[in-house]
Amino acid sequence: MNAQFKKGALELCVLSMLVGNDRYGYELTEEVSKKMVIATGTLYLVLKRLKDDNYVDTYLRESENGPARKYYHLTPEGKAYQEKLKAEWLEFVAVVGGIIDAV
Amino acid sequence: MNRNEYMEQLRNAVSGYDAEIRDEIISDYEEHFNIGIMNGKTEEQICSELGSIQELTEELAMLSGRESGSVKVQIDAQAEAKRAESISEESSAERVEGEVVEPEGAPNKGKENGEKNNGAGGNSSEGRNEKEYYRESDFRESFIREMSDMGNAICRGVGVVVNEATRFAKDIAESFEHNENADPFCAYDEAGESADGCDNVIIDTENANVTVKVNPNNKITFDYRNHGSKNQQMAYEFYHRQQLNTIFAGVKRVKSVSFFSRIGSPFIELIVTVPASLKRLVIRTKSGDIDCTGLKAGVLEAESLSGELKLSEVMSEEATLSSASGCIEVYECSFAAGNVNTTSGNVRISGGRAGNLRLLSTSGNVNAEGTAARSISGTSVSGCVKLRAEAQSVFVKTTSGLADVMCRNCTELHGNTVSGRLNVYGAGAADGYSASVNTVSGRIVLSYGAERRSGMKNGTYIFGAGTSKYTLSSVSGGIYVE
Repeated sequence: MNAQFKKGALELCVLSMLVGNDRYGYELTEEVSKKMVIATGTLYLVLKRLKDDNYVDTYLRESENGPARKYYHLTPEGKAYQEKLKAEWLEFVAVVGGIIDAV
Repeated sequence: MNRNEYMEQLRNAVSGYDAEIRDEIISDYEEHFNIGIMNGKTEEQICSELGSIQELTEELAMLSGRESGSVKVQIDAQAEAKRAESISEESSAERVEGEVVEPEGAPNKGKENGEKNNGAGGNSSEGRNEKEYYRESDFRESFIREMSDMGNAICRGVGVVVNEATRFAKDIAESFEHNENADPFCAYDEAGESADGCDNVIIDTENANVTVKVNPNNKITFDYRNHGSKNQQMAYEFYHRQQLNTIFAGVKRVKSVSFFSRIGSPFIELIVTVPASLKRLVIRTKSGDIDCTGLKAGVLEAESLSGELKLSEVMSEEATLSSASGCIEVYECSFAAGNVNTTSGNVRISGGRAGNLRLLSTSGNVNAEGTAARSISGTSVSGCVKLRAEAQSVFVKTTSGLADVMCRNCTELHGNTVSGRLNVYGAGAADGYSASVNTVSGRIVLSYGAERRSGMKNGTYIFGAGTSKYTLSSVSGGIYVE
């Protein structure tokens, strides 16, 4: 799959995983890589970009065993962006689905 | 590779970036290693999961490019291409686009180019708009790249990709102009019907609603209005060209625009004015409506796939109107030969005159009222056909729909249905009629004045002087003449 395409999808996945639930980076990479083959390193860049765009913000939280972890939290803008991307994605998938089913 | 080696490479890769970016990435990776090891993974395992530093470097270049602002509108494509080539022989398309957007934070970038581009990018408020656009629709943007990548995969070199990116950026700028430009765009300024005047107009659009009116100054003008979102405005462009005395114009999709922008058609209008008389007018649209008023065209072809057609006070020697699923309405038009057909829409003709008029719908209704014609034919498979026209010769045919014909002045009538009922009114208004009737199981009722006969067998029946000839047949539909 094309890297750009995948990254767009990745962005939507990450945003969606953060809906209603703050998570730390490792957790997100583990969850995504369970379902698709990615270089998990790129996910940190996706997160950074989302942060730069103010779609997520971060904070440090102590963990029981070990140093503090950086948690990602979805901002209201991020939630709106997630909904928008989701709608676009679903619409896109429906259109493609409609075409390939018709053939 | 172990953790130390990997982190060493990472530090090298991010060394050219600002401390803020550098430190954040490094701390993210350190944290990732810490948690991974705590969860029982080996350093090698984590390294391979994180992926190659090379990939990260490319992503990073793109990321920082993005941060530097929008895609600049004016880019010297050739210079860019050269530069991109010199940086890397096997630059990927992504990499190249990373170059195009002038990442200021990335290493190895010439400062002078950035300044030049900024200067050429128009005023600052436009720049902001574009930036907003990009931020909002990064996802769409990825599809644009996807597409140019696909093209790239075939044979194109770095330069072409850069060119495409430039063209794309230019399109954005133009679409903004279109948006602002509410004044009609005057393509051709003809003084009357001069010898070199264009009297053929071919309009071909994707989904624009096309309105054609007469220009009192004998000019041909096009007014293109895209009422869609910015993305949708970008997805379409108006084009026009002249070849001898023919003008080709229309609205087409911009090839390099993402799939997402193509979903959900925007409302696009193309308002065309033409001289009062044209030799040939062709209008084709896929999903748009077509509306023509008051003009005269030797040959007129109007075709829409799903849109509706509406013609008012149009004159034509030869008119072909068709729509796959839209309705067709014709008001007070004069056609020497008129062919009107639609697959699932209705056909409605009101008033006007015609030599030969053929009306056809597969599943819609066909309706003609108050039209004077030499001959008129109405056909529908499952719809009803209702002809209230003044015609010498009438032909009506349906499969399951009702056929309902006024034939006061007709001398010749052919009616044919399978299961639909066949009604004929105004029979033999002048000198009576002769009816050849044929049905398998339908009921036959024939009237003339006060005379009424029913329940007859197949055969020919003459009323009055029998001047008008009717040929009526059905399988199971009843045949009623009065």
